[in-house]
Amino acid sequence: MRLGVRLWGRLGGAALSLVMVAVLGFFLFRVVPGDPVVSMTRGRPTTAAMQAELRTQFGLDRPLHEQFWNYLTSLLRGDLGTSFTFRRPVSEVILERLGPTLLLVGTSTVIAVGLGLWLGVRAAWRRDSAFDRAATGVSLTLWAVPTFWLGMLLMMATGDLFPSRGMRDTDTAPDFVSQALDVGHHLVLPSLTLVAVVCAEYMLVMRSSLLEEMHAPYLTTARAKGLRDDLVRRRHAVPNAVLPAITLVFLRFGLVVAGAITTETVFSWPGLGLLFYDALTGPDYFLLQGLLVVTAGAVVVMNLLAELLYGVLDPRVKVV
Amino acid sequence: MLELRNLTVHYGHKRVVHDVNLTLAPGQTLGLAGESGSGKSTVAMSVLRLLPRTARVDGEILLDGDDVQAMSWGRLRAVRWAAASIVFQGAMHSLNPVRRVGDQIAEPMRLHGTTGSVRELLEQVELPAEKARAYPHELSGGQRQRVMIAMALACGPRLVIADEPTTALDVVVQAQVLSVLTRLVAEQDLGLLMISHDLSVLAETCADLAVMYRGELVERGGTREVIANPRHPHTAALAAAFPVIGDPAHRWVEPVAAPEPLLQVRGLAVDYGRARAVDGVDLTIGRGEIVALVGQSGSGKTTLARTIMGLRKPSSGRVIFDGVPVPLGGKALKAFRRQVQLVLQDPASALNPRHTVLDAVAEGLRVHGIPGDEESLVSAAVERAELRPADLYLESLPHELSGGQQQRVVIAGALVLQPRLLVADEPVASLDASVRGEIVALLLRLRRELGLASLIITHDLGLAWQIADRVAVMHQGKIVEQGSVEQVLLNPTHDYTRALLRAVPQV
Repeated sequence: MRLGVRLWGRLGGAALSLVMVAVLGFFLFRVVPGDPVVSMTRGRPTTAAMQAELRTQFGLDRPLHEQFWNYLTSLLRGDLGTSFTFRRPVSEVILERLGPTLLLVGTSTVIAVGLGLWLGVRAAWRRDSAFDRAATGVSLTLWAVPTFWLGMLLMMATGDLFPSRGMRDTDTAPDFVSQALDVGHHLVLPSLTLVAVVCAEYMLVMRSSLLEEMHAPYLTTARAKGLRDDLVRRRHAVPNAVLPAITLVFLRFGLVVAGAITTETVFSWPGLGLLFYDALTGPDYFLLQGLLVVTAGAVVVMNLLAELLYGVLDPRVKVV
Repeated sequence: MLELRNLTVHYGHKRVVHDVNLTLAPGQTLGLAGESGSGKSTVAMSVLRLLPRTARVDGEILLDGDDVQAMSWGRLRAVRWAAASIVFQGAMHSLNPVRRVGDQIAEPMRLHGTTGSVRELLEQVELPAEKARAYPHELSGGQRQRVMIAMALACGPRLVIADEPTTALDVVVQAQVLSVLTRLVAEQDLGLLMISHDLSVLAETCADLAVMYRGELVERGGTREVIANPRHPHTAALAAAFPVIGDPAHRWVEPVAAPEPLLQVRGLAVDYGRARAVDGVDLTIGRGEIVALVGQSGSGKTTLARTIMGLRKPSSGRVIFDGVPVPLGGKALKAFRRQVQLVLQDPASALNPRHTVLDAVAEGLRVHGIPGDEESLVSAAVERAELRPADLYLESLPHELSGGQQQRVVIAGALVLQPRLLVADEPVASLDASVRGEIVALLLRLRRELGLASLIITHDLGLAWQIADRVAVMHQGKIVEQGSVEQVLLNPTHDYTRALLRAVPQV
C-alpha cells in the first residue's frame, strides 16, 4: 500500500510541475514590456486598425483572467494558439518539426551516451594512463569549444564531402531508400558536432563515479573470488557506478525535444531548435509560448521516468 | 598448507610488514592480533595477492607449496576462493549493494565449476533459504556476516581467512556469528586464519595466537599461554586493555556513594511512527556519577540519549535536570544544552575535516556567545583533555591527529562549555586497545577533578565494568535492570542481562 502512495506522490509532483510550466508559459509572455502586437508587427507597414484586428484575433483585447482561462482550456484540448509568422496552429508547426529534431538530437544523444559511458569506464579503470589523459583532454576541449564554431570548422574541414544545409535535397528520387540515404548523408555533420560537444559530460560523470567505486571493498571481494579483471569491472563496478550517470542521461533526453538551437541553426536543420531561433527573431509570442510548454513538459516527464527507472536499477531506492 | 617466509611489504618507502614468518597446518586455527596499522590485514590480503599495485611484496607466500607471488594470473584466479577464501568484514561494504546475495554466493561456484547449492550454504550458516533473494541492505549486520561466511565456504576451500569478521557487531550477534564460524571450521576441518584487534574474540575461536606490532610478528604460541604469560610488552598491553568483568584490577572507578540527583528521567516514552523506541524509562544520574546504559543495537539506547539531550521530543514522560524540567525550546533549552554535552563514537566523522582544532573546540563558545578570551579558554579545555602543550595542537587539522587525539579534541569541545553532564555514545568503540585505556582514564580523571557526571552508552559490558558506578540494561525500549555495577554484572537478575553477559567473549 505504501509503495502505491509513493508512486502517486511522484506522479502528483510531476503533474504539479506541468501545471507550473503552463502557468509560467502564460505569464512569461504577458510581462514582456511593450505591446506584443506592436513588437510582432515591427518593421511591417501596419495601421492602427489592422493592429486592433490582430488583437481581437489573438484575444489580447480581453481581460487577463479571461485570456488565462481561454489559454488553459485550449491547452487541455491540445490547442496552443496560432502562430503569427506561420499563420497556422502552433501545435501543427511544432509537431511538424518534432520528427527532424528527434532524428538529429536522438541519434547523437544515443551515440554520445554510448561513447561517453564507454570512454568514462575505460579512462577510470586505467586511471592516469595515456588513454585516460588523452580521452579526458580531448573531451574537455570539445566541451569547451563553442558549438557553432565547431560546426563551421567541421563544414570547412570536410569540404564538399557532406552536405551542410537542410535535411534532404530537392532532387533526390522519391523512393524510401534514396530518401533515407539522403537524410543520413545530411545527418552526418550536425550529429557529429552534437556528439563531440555533449559526449564529454557523460564521460566525465561516468569516470568520476567509477573512480569513487574503484576502492569499494566489494570489488576486493570479487577479485578474491577469482574473477577476471574485466568481469570485476562489468559485473560489479559498472552497475554501481552507472547509477549517477542515469539521472544525467535522462535529464538530457528531456532536453532532446528542445533541440539543439545552435547546431540546427548552423546547419539549417528543420527541427525545433531552428524553430526556436525563428520564433525568437519574429518575435512570435504564441509560438514561443507553445515551444516553452512542450519542451519544459518533456523535461518533467523524462525526470519522472528517470526516477522510476532508478528505482528499478538500484534496489536500495524504493520509488514504486 | 600456508607458509609465509620472510614476508615484507612496502608502500613506497613505508614498510608496513617486516620479515614475517608464519605456518598454518590443515585444520589449525590461528588468530592474528594487532592494532590498526600493525600490518595484520596486509598479511591477510597478501595471501591471495590482493594488495594494491603500489605495494611491493618481498619474501615467499606458499599456499599448498606454491608461491602465490610467482603464479600466473590464470593460476592465481583458479587458486583464489577455491584453495583459500576470505570472510571480509561484511557489516561494511564487502557485498555488492545492487546484487542479490544469492547471486553473490553462487558467483564463485559458477566461476570455479564447483557443485553445491546456495540453499545448503545458507542453511549451514543458519539463514533461511529465501534470504538468497535479499539485497545486502535488507539484511541485518549479523545476517550479512553469515552471508559472507556462506560465500567463503562456497567452493570448499581448505583455508579460510577471516578479517575482523565481527567488528561493528554487538556482543550478542558477535557471539552468534563466532559460534557459526567455529562450528563450520571444526566440522569441515578447515584451516582458519582469523584477524582481529580484539584478543578475547581470538581467544574464543583460535587454538593458536600470533601478535603483530608495527609490522613485525612479536609473539606466537598457544592462545592460553600467550594471554596468560605474554612475553612481549605489547601483548600484555593488548590483553590488559580488554577488561575482564569481575576482576577488581580492571575496575578503575572509585564508586561514589548515593549522590543527590542531577538528571532524572520519569516515565519517558518515544515513538517513531507506530514503533515505540523508548518505553516508559525511569533513570537517575547523580551529581558526578557515571552511569552506563548498556544494550544491543536497536534497543533504544541512542534514542533515549537524544531525548535526554533535548534533541527529540518525548511522546510522554519528562526529563528533569537539576530540579527543573528540561524546556522544549527557546533560550532555556539552549542554556540546558550547554550543561549537557555529547561525545560521539567515531571522532573522525564527528570532526569537520576542514576545521582546525581551535575552530572545532571554539565552535561551542561561539554558538553560545560565551565572553572571554576564546583562545585561552580553548587552550585550557584542550589541556584538560590531555593534549599538552595546547599550542602544538590548536592549528592542526583532524587528519594530522591519531584516533585517540581526535577523540580528545571532541572531548575538549565538550569541556570548553564547562558542562555538568557528558553523554558519551560508544566513546571508545572505534579506538585501538592501547588508546582505549587512556580515554577511559581521562573520563575518570575529569569526574574526579571537575565532578563531571557521565552517561556512557555502550554495548560493551567490559567498559561498564571499568568505568561506571551504576549500570542500566536496556532491552526493546525498556530498562530491564539497573543497579550498582557489581550487583548487575556479577549477580544479574534479569534473563536478558544474563544473556548479554554470556555473549561476552572471555580471554
